[in-house]
Amino acid sequence: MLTLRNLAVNYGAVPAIHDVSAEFEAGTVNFIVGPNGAGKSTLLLTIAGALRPRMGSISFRGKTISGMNPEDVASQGCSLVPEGRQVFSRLTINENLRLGSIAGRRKGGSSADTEEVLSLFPILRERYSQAAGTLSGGEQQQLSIARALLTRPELLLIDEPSLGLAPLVVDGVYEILRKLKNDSLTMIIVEQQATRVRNNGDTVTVVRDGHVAFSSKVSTISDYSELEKAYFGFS
Amino acid sequence: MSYFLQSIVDGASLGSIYALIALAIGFVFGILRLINFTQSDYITYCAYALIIPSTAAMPALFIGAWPAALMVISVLLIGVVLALLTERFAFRAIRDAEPEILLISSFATSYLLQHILMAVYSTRPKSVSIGNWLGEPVAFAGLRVPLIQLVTLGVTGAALIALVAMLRYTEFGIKIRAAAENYRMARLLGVRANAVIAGCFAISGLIGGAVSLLLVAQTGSLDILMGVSPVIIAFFATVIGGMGSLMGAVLGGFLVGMVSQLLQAYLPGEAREFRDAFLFAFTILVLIARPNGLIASSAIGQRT
Repeated sequence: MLTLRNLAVNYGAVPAIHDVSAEFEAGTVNFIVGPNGAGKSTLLLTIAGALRPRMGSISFRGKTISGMNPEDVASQGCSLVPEGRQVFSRLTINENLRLGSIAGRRKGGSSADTEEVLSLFPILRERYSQAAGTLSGGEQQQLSIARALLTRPELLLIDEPSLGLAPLVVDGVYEILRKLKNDSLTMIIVEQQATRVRNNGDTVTVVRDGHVAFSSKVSTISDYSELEKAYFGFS
Repeated sequence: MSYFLQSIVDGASLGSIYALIALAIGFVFGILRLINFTQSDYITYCAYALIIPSTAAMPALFIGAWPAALMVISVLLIGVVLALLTERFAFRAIRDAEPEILLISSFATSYLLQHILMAVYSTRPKSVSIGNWLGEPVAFAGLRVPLIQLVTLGVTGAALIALVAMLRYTEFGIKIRAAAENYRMARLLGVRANAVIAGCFAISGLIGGAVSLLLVAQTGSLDILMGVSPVIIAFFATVIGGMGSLMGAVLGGFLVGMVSQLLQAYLPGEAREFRDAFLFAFTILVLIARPNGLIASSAIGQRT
């Protein structure tokens, strides 16, 4: 579904990613883990069109999307739930969701989708006309995911869904992601820790210092020490 | 007492013009972090479109001679087209550059437009008579107020309400507010940057046209620099109100207009000449007390 070929990206003048190649299949949940500053967020932003790769290419459902504008990537069916949620805090929850459906509508969606998505997030319906800035961190994370779902994505990119949330709240977020997986949505989830990989992931990729240090199907990992070595840079 | 009230009405009328220009500047700044000084040229070009190109001091009317409705629509349209042209050819290519570069480009474009106008019309100020009947005083709440001031208040009031309603209730308005808060995130959700930015420029051009007509009707004269001073003062108004906050821009505009008129009315005769110096001192005082302006915006500073 998504293929990265020899991708290199600079963040400002600093090389953040070099020579990353990877393949993500439809209907799978893929984890990208790595220490702080490894280039994980840069990778997701590049796939979503917010950053331009210096070299290499990205193809999504057989179509080259590297070099496209973020709004065009969104209407191709690839949506990002960014690090730190980034809800529009001064807009109401309803308005945040309406923004999500703009790209979705271009793909032929309708307001029926909003109902369907809201059924996953009852709390958002309760607070429909409240400013998004008044929501708790966990609720903002739900809003951010709901908003991305309304773009009718085939591929959902999720950047550190557990960042700054209490463990119990994170459980709730992953509960929702599991439901989405059952609807066979393809996901790439970036996390700093690999703790949730075993129970939720189909594949795991370790990114370190801007390149792929380890990559495997979760089902074939018998010993996690190899992943840990790659993560910490021992070889 | 009635002198004071008279000054208040004058101040509100002047302030409403500043508020409108401040809003135009705010629309573009909110998304692009561009302080658009070509806003002054939208005003000037719309005003000069009223006359037939010539260097005469009493030029013949061109669009200004058309029936009122047609004249208003044409002038507004010229404002919109000019604003869209500056967006397309001066700013789009460098949209992602640093705010300083955008600012320099806006100065350069503004000077270029000014000099084109000078080449065609010369720098000599011109007098035009459009809507003379608007200068007639009418009785209003025990005061005698020139009709044009009431028209100005009415027009800007209606425009402010229309713009706020547009921002609050239309999908385009939601897109603008979202892009102003987080430009990149809005694009990631499929908001078309070109469409939203062009839309904001179109609105600022429309405002430029409206302000231009109000100014010409008030002063009856044309000047190459006629747009510059209101735009600079309106820019102070946006700074006082809080860069990036549209409500702040409106508030700042009225405040600056009011202070300016009260200074005009109550400064001793020999100090009146330096009214603008007092106005700028007032701006500095406000900023010392509230460095982020009256309504601080979280979206200030770098575009995210």
